[in-house]
Amino acid sequence: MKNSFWKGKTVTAYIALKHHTRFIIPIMEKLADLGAKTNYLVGQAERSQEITAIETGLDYNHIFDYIGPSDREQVFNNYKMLRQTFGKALLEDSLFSLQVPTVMDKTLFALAQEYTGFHNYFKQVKPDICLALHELNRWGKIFSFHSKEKGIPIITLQEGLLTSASAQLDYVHTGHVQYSTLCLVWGQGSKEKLCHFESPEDRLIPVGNTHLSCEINTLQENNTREKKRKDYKTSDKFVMVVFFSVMLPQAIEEFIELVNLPGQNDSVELFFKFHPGTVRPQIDAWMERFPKAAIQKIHSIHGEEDTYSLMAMSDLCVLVEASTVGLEALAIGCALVLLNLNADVVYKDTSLVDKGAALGLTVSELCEAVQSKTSFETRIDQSGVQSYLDHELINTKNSIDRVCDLMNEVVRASQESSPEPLVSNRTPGKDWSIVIPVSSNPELFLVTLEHIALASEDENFEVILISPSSVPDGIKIILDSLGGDICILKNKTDLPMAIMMNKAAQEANGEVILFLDEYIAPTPGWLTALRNGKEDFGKETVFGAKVSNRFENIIHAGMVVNSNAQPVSAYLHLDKKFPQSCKTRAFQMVDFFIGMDRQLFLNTGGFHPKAGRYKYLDLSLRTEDILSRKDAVVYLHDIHLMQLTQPASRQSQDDAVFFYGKWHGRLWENEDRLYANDGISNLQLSAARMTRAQNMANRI
Amino acid sequence: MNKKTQKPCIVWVLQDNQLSPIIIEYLKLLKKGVSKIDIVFMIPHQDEKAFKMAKDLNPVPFKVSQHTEPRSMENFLEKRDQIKDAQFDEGLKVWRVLLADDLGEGVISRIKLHFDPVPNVRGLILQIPTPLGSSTAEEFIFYAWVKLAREKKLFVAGYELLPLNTRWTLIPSMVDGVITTNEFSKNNLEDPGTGIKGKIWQLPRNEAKVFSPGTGPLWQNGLESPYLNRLQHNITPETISLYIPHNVALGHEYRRLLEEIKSLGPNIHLMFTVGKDQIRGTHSHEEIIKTTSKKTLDHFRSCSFHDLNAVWEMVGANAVLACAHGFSTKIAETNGIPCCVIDEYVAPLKSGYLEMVNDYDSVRRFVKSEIKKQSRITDITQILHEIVQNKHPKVEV
Repeated sequence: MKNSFWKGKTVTAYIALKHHTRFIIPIMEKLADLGAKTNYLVGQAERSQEITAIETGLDYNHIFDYIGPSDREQVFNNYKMLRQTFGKALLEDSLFSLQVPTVMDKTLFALAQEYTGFHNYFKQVKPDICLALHELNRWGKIFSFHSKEKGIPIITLQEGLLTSASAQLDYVHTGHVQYSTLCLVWGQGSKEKLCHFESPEDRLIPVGNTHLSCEINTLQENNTREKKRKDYKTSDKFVMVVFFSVMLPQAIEEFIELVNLPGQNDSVELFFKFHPGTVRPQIDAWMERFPKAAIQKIHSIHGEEDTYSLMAMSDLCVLVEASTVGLEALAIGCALVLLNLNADVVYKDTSLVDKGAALGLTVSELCEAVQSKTSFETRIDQSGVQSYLDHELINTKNSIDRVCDLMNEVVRASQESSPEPLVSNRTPGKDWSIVIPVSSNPELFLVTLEHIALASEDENFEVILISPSSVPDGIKIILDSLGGDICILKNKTDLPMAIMMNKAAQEANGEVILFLDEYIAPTPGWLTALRNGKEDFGKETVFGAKVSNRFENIIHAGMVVNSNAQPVSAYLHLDKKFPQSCKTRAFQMVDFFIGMDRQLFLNTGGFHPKAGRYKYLDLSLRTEDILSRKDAVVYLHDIHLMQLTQPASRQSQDDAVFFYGKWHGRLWENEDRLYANDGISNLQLSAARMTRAQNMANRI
Repeated sequence: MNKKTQKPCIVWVLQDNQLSPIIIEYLKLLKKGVSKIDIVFMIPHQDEKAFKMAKDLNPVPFKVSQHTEPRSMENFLEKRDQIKDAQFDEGLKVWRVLLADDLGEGVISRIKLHFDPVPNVRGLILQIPTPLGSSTAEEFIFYAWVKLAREKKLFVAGYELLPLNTRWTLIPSMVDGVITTNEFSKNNLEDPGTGIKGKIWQLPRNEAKVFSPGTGPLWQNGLESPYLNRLQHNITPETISLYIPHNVALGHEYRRLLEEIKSLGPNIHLMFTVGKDQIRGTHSHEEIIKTTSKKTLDHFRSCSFHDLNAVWEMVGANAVLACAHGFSTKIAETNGIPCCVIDEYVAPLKSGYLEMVNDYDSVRRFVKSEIKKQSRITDITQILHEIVQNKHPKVEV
């Protein structure tokens, strides 16, 4: 199975608890099969992460293995910072008094050690790519942070509880995708949920559930259903498995009818599957509250049987409250009932029923349906099940291959060298070459051209239009009517836009080349501003511009990186005259438009064909590297560009995989720093945005 | 009684796990001995065992209530904002690392104390909980008192029971003063690297042994004697007491020993042991010592004579100085009292608390070291006075 790509590559996974390993190990094993060297790392915790690795038979390292006597001072310095922070917090308020201070103290010291340990690990081992279940706990967060710091891609998966009780804590997920290069989630549903809590949409990629996909294959290969039904002597029975969550319902009256069911009906075999988080004495005490004779007929399962085997052997799965188990049962092909209880449950989510994926029944209704031999499969709307699965779980069987493919692409991007310089034999005969794509909207295309003509009067310029292989009639008429210094480059073989733009640069006659995105139109004075910028900052500079939309709201005033490592425009959605946006200065990146010396553009190798919608950002970062200057990219606030309409979103995950794979080690939060330097607080910004929104509403 | 005429008060909080017979006996002695300060012992009302044990201290009950607020975004943000500036060197924010998991996301728990007002309180004394040996309930109560002291701007001192020379220093950093029981803890907390800002005291050994698990009967039996000895002989805080297990068989050696250390005498009180079976001729054992070393004894600050069989009186000594290894030095060694034996006919050794030497320079070095150690020691009475006199500021956070 080995292939040349993974040979010699190292992959490191951080694992904590058993449920971490079941998602990660199948990927790691597959990568090892493909030739990669795999490492497992565990952290320090009282609920031992080492035990997970030992019981799973993994060759692992403890993060403390990477701390030596020379790190003592560093560890103590970090600890002191943490101790002072929390000592002060504890004395000033009770916000952190949920735990006793000594428990917190142990956590703080271990954290100080782990921070240094992970740091040292990356100094010593330098993996090609990393993997963790998520970056919500302290180990996952530090692991991801240091990995990013060293420019090593880190892939996280979905925190498995997004569909269970903890989903009520949505706000906790605000940092779910922060230092991760990409976060691979089960389905669109998870992606949407995380996006609601600030996760960057372009770094969330649905791939399915790696663990489940493995289980489904195993259940089928091993013929588990028949084998287990035989083992439990239930081959000719109706097998019902009831899944409980961690907290057992305290009002048991509702369950008495269910508990009595096997006694009343010999053809029914009832399994109670208790959550691993519920401790055995609680289960025993709970069961003892029912009549002894009745509970003797129930199979009470805690850790004695594998959950998926139970699902496979069942005719009906019943959830006491909504949880991930529901999704898994559906994926395995089980009929599903979600109990409609009077008793309080921790996670009251009826979406499984609302979306037609499960039947919502009271215990009485369930018992009645079982007694009357209802066909649950018939009663459940199978299209509802399918649509639920499609939304929540993109892929039930091949997700491991998909993950490995994505990891391959990410590693390639992270290790890709810069493109070779472009060659052109043109000698500049013009001051400016303006390159724009031909849009599909004739009216707006014409407006764009008119704006270029009007805004560039008295200037020595040419326009290069990049036209798709076929255009609507309206566009064709416009193109045929054009005269003057206009060159049309036809994309006959549907090459990526970046390649066409590079060709345009090679064909251009201008000393300076200007690239405008679709529907971006200049306003008068733009070239004067650019000329001044060139004089002020030199030829070896990439220039960006202020871009506003038709409501005169800023959509670009230089690119900053937000707290989730996502490039966004500074002062986004504020009035285009917002004072702090009217400041010419260097930024790490610019978007929508780039103006630069044509020869410099050619020397950089031009736009990267894989960068797609990130082409300007990629070019900005690359130019900064080539010129080795932090001020190589400058936002000129007095170039005003208008976005005539928002282009239809052409989302491709490939360009996100490339861009973040290549640059994630360089994308560090700086948005708040810019605002702080500008003397504007988040509160003031929020107020300004509110005012702006109110103005918009009044205008409409 | 108005506030001006009332004695200043120290509140000493005790809990179920924090009491032993020796602590009770000691606190009774302390309460009696500190006449200018009112010590009020307070015990959680549910700690029946503690109330029973401490009944002679007339403890005052207090109640504790704890309220846990349900998870909420507001709580989460409030917690985040409180620590939002803390970060590691490379910029990783601490709240991002800890808040979603270790620190309980949006759950907040608040603890409150309820008790009748205690007048004229100048400070609080509490036992310091340690990461490897305290109960959750006990710790919440500790925290509630420390928090209350912060709100009321009261000085709070914690005393060591389990060792404080560990890696964990959060709790010692939260109190205004730490009363340690040994030099290792004091050194650890005073190390500038730890950044502990409060006052660090070290108790004399006899008091340290009170606040120590596994203290033997010697210390309980000798609980009172150090104070009596100090009172009777007006021993000043900077003076050390050396226990000298004199034996008439070694009359010359002991005379020589005193000669050799007399230059350090102004800082030394000598505690000679005397035995009835060491009467020789018409001279009692005490007379023999006084006669043979008359001029030498004048160089020392003071001296006292103790029945050889009242071995518990040794607990008031800083160290034992002897001319042969015997009963007293064995007791001292076993009970953690440093002892130095000068015996020119035995090979030198250093083992635990015992040091055997065969030259007087080593003896002087030993004694000087004890004098130096004494300068770092403060007894509880003195600590209580320093607290009520506001000698030490509250720690700034």
